[in-house]
Amino acid sequence: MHLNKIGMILADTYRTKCYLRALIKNKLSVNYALILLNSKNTIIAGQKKITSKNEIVKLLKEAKINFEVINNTNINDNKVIERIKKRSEKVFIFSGYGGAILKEKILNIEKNFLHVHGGYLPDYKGSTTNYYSLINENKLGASAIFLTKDIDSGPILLRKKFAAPKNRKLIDYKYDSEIRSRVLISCLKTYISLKKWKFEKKNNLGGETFFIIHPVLKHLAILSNRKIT
Amino acid sequence: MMNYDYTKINRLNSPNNYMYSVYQGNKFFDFYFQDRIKKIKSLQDRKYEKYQQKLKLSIYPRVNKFLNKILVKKFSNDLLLKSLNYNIKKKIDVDKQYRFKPLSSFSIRKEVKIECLLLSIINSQLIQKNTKLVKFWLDFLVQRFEVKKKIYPSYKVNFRKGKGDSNIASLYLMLAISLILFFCSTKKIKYMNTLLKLSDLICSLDTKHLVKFVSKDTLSLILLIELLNIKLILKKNIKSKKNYAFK
Repeated sequence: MHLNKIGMILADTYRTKCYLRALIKNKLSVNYALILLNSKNTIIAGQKKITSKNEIVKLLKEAKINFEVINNTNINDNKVIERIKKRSEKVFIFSGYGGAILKEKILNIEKNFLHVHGGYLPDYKGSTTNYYSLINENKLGASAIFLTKDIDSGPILLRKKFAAPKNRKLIDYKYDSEIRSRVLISCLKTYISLKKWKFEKKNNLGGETFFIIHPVLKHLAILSNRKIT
Repeated sequence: MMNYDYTKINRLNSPNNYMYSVYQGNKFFDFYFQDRIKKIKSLQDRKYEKYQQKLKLSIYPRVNKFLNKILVKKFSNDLLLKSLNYNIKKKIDVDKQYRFKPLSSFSIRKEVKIECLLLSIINSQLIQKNTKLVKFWLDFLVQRFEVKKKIYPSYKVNFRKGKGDSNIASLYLMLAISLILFFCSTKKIKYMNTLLKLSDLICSLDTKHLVKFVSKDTLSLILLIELLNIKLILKKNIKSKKNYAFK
């Protein structure tokens, strides 16, 4: 199924590859993708290692998605905004580098940015929230939202909770990306069947905002196998 | 990183961002415990007493008395605490009651002086009043510290932009006091998270410098209560065959 009103903005990360593999597996393709290429020789948050863009390009070709590459990792840069602005797609799936926050100037270009947050909203807003949900309830979560100026507070399209994985050491790069991909695919399938975006919860106010987990608590979340008491 | 490197260099000058921290297994807890214990022991050195007389903040003895009560009530039989020879029966004199600005008098629509705000928050926590307002302001302070890893002496309208010298050690200690009190009363891990980062920052500062500006007894109590709470959580929730410090 080709989704001609949807595009993607992709960082060179494991999560992006996970999203593309999930699209291929489910025989879905979007109309366009813009790769934000990290051409410098330093790792950006969200990247486990520096790879060439070839792997992403290969996946995009396999998914039959037209793409462009921009040597720019900053989603808020005017050159990136101009590229997105001139596209016809109304919704862009956003898979950026770690910690990237969309500022008002890009949020105001009359496009919607579909982001899958790693955490069950509105309960777990902010960063590394799946470690907190492991500590508090021994579960992971992911929520698909349209981005707004308030962090993780846009309308919720779909959210799901997942059982804690057996190997918790792989949360950062494997499970977090995988559960986000599953929510993304479910969300797109609902869009296809209803021919419009369905909102599970438009009011995404409240909840608690968390900040990057301290290594002591991260080790606790990884090494414990139950809700912390 | 195969060690506890979060306190190794001055974290006021080189802040940690803690992003994608590397998993090191159970032994990481030992590195954490050793690092905190080293700081607590260094603070007990008598040569630092002379600097403590000059400290102005009147809230310290009241805080110490309150934290000491927590220590006695929850951890008096803890072997780690006993091994540190920390005198939990020490008499703490609280000289007089000071007046604090009421917490309700602060507003994000005005510039906020952080020392005044923190004193009012801590005072409210010690008398166990204004719980909602305490959380309201603490969440702002946590957010500001987590984003910038700095605390400024004042914040402009809307509490976004800090103003002044961000190297005032006593402000970091006061936020740590408020966080340990909040964690002890709510058990919310979010506040322990920020406390651990603040403690890393404070512990990264040279003890000789630190004791000129902060109460070493208060700092020791905060580090001890943080450490013993972590130890308790680990003991209850992590199975380990090896004899790690928290066992």
